[in-house]
Amino acid sequence: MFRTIFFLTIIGLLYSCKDDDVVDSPSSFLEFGISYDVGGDELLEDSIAYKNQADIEFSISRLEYFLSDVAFHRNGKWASTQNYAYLNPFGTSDRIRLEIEPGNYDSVGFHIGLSSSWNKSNALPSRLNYMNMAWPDVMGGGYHFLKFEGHYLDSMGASKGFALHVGKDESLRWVAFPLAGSVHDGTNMLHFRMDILEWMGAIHTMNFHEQPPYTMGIDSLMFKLADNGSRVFEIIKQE
Amino acid sequence: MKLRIATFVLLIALAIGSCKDGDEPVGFQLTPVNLLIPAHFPLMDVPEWNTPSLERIELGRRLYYDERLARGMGLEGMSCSGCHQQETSFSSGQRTAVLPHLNLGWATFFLWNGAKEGTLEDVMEFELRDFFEADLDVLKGDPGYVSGFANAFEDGGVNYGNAAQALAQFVRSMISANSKFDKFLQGELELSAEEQRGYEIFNSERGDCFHCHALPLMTDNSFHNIGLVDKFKDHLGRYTVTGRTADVGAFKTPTLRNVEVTAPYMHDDRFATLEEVIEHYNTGVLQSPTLDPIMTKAGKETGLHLSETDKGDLIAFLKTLTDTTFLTRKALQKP
Repeated sequence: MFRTIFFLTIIGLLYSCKDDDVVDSPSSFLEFGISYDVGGDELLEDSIAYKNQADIEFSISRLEYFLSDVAFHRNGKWASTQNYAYLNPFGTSDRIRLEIEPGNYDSVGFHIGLSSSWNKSNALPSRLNYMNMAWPDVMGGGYHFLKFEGHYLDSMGASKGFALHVGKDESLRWVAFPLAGSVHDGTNMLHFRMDILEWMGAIHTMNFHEQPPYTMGIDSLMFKLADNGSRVFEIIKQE
Repeated sequence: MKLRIATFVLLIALAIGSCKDGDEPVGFQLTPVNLLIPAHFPLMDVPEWNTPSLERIELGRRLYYDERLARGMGLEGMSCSGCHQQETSFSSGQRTAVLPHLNLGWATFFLWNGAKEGTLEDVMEFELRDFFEADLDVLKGDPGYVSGFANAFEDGGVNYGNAAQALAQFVRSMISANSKFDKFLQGELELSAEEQRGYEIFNSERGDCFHCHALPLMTDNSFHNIGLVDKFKDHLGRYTVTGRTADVGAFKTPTLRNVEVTAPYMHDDRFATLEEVIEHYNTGVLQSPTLDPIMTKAGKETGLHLSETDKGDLIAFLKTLTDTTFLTRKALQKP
């Protein structure tokens, strides 16, 4: 009896140590890697180097956006991970690394932007990147889903700015991609490519000679931009 | 039986002793300080190796105000406080438009063109070593400093690295977050009708201030060409650091906190009053190839079209950003 109490006590004390409060690590993760280009050309944060679908020459000085609710589909059901990520090819991005059960999945999907549960003022943690994406309360609150800015050459060849911003729940777009191969133990990588040129004209061509070079206050244009956003990604590798 | 009990007690002691928390060395210790960061402010990234402590903040405060250290050309007799005075929110007090020292714990770029980036520790080491060319012999010959460094650093070293860490801690403690607007954000009080209208202009497409002067820090820590000039010879700004054409004429967005007392305004001191600043955005923006995209909206080529009432409202709102407790806080004064 004494021996039993003795060993139980020792074991209990050892397990009460802080460093032993470690939860077993899940066996399988899926991580996103995102590369960026502009119609196949390298993304440069500088002078006017690209041409869009309306033959408008442009540069890119800012690209910040959110993804949310990454989900995996199998057996006729979506399993959502209920999370979000801020991404910025010119700055610091959130890492997208998700716990996932090993096995076969049909597809992966996510929202471009923040779904309504996140798209409320102060819904995200108080981090600088998130706060700089705030959509003012005065205009409905929540967050910008996208800030895409740069310069373009107008019809006279003069450099002018464009500022394409997206926000509001109605601008949220869901995209899904078929998955080949199964999710195995350990870390799985899903490599996405964003072709930034597609923001300019995948569905609706952004012709700044005929329309405003900004979306602020013009919901119809903002929704067109959001539509284009549903075509900017593709999976280029799964491993 | 006695042996069993003794073994039992010994093993319990060993088990308790094996807990990591019991391995903490006893000896040199700092007094931790919790920086008072309100809930509506972002989290502050603080290096794990230089977390706030009373000893380092106090040492940093002494260094900030010490006029004996500078050896740099033309800087003899100067200290940080020579250009950054508390009553003007640690800006220069009508002399020149230095960026104010407040809420720098959230900054990632420093100086108008962002020539310095990294941690505050990096920037403070630059200031001590390269800008002020601080004379370490002055510190080493001052018993107060020698004991101050000994209390603040385990190695007690009187050197640029430790001095920079202490200065960084003091600067990181310069948090301004107690203005009328902060109380409004926290639901503690209402703005006046005039201030509320100004707040709405600021945070909507009408004034369009919020894109760069993002809440709650009232800066996006980024760089913008806001149309002050269309000839850039002496106004190259961020371009001098990056060499990117798109950065010509772009300067760091200054925080608007305490803007009521931080005149003159803009990187070249060109505006003496808030009225002049507002008028620039209202009617004075100059077009150029690198003018910030946010400022080139159709319909606003000739300015914001704010009325006199609108401009007054906007200024009333800007004055709600004045934090008098920051301007008079004893912990930030010369020791």
